Amino acid sequence: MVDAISTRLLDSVPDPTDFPPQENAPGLRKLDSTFRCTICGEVFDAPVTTRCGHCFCSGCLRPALALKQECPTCRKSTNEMHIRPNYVMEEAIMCWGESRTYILELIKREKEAAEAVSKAKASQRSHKRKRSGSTSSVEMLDCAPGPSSPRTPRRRQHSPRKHKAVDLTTVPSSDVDEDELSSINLNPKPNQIVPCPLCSKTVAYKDLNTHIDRGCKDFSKEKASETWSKILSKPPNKQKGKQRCYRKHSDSDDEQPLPLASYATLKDRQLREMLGDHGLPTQGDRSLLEQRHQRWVVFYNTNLDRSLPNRKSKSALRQELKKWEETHFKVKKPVVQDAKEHVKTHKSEFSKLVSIARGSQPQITSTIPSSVSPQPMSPG
Amino acid sequence: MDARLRRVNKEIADCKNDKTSSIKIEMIDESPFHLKGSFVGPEDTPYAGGKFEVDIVIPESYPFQPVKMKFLTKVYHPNVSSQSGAICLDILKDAWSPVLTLKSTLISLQSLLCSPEPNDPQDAEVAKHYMTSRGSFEQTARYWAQIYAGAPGGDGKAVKQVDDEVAIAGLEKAHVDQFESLGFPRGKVIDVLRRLNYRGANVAQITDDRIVEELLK
Repeated sequence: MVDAISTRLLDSVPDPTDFPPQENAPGLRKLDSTFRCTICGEVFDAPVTTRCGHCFCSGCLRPALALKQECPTCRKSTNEMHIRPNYVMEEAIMCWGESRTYILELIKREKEAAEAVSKAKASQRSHKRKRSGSTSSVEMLDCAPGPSSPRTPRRRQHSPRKHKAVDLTTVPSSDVDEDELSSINLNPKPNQIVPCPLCSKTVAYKDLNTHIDRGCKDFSKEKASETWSKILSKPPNKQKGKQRCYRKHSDSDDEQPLPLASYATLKDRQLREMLGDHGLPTQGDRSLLEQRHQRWVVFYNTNLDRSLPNRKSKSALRQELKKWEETHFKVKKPVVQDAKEHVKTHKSEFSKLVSIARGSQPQITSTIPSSVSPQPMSPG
Repeated sequence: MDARLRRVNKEIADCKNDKTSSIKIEMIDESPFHLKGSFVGPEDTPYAGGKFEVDIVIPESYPFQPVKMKFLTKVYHPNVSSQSGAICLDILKDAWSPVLTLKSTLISLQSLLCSPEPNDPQDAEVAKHYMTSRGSFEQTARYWAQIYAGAPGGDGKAVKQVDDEVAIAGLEKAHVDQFESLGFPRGKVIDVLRRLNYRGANVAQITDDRIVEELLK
């Protein structure tokens, strides 16, 4: 029974072993494990880098550094100020998330096909030995966009928008498709949109020369006026500029990471105010308040380590916090403050329980309400 | 599913899939947070060939807090309590890191058996034994591995019960017989000699009077 439970649990957790081993699918297992945080074992969520170059989920590294200020991997000393978001990794794992299922699907299909073939062969000529399934997955890999595919097509995949422009200026390389070559018009019309051979920006053919003469820096008219109105309406704010340099990669102006609070120096009232400022519930005992705030700071700062389009809203973060609290504190029963009052209010329940206990009926357990603590039963 | 459970599941799966290492992890009851790990004693040590079982409890705040591990199999080792199986190893205490896993921790335990650290002992008596007489210590450790961890070699079954006690304590039969013949109960003699570390070079340093004094206490 234990084994059944464990296998059920194990099946539901995706991990690098979903892929065939190294000899059948070179690099795939390792690739999957490189995209995983060594603390939680999941594919990175809001990946960040320490100053020693190791990568973790922001939400894993921050609590770890709060306990001990060293890199969990190499033990070099580091602290929260050194954490930098890793946007390239973030993008890579998003792509991996999509392609992972696709690759697994391909592997599965290939395996099924191989099995069908071997079955058919076995039934056709029973004297011939069965083909082993392991060789087939290697064949399959050649068609999958894995690390084994040649280098040039991968580059193209990386920057599809810039691709044509590059081909215009350079000698058409072997990876240019036939139809792409034919689509390049050597005598474009004046109003036709063409990519600039230098900066790859698309401009009308008649404007191309002016564009290049200006060092590829000209804007369209609307854009120019937009920029000017922006400059004129918002005089540069010195303070904001200063703040921004802390987190210059992010485009957001007002979002700053929350500082860690030293709870020992905070009064209950101050702590409640801090929670209230972020729109969080303020009820609960001291340790719950502290843990709630601590967790909120982790959620909040983790969110800032995501690239702007991937950030969650504040209300989504609050929902996440609520969920976290529910899973972590549901086991704790409410503490009875006033024992006498408690006995009074639950008298009928207690007397019922007592009568059941005296009768020693077998269905006792089903009738006991879960919220009633057993201590007040003894005097009755 | 919370992060801790997911991680533990992955770790158990990882051990199941790894056929090259001798590390095994299994569940004791239905909770995935109370496990039993086991590994084979390292080669070229007194523990070679034995199967050592470890009780594993995964705390609430894992992986930010270290796992709790202790030996279920009795081990004669300076850094393992010969009574309770408690382990003295830095990564199980302040040198823990959240990237360490159940497997890597069990491998560390395995290597702890290769390289005892008597200057930071868990079991002071065993550490003293190790420091005074390596040969005698290894003999006792091997004997323990044979009777408790099922290590090969040693015709343990042929040896009489009384000699077992002497060998388990890592003492010389002649020494125990000598003091027993003075009229003291055998159990007490073994106890006192073990406590005084009456082994190897120490034998010459501890006078018979001192031992009798202890025996009379």
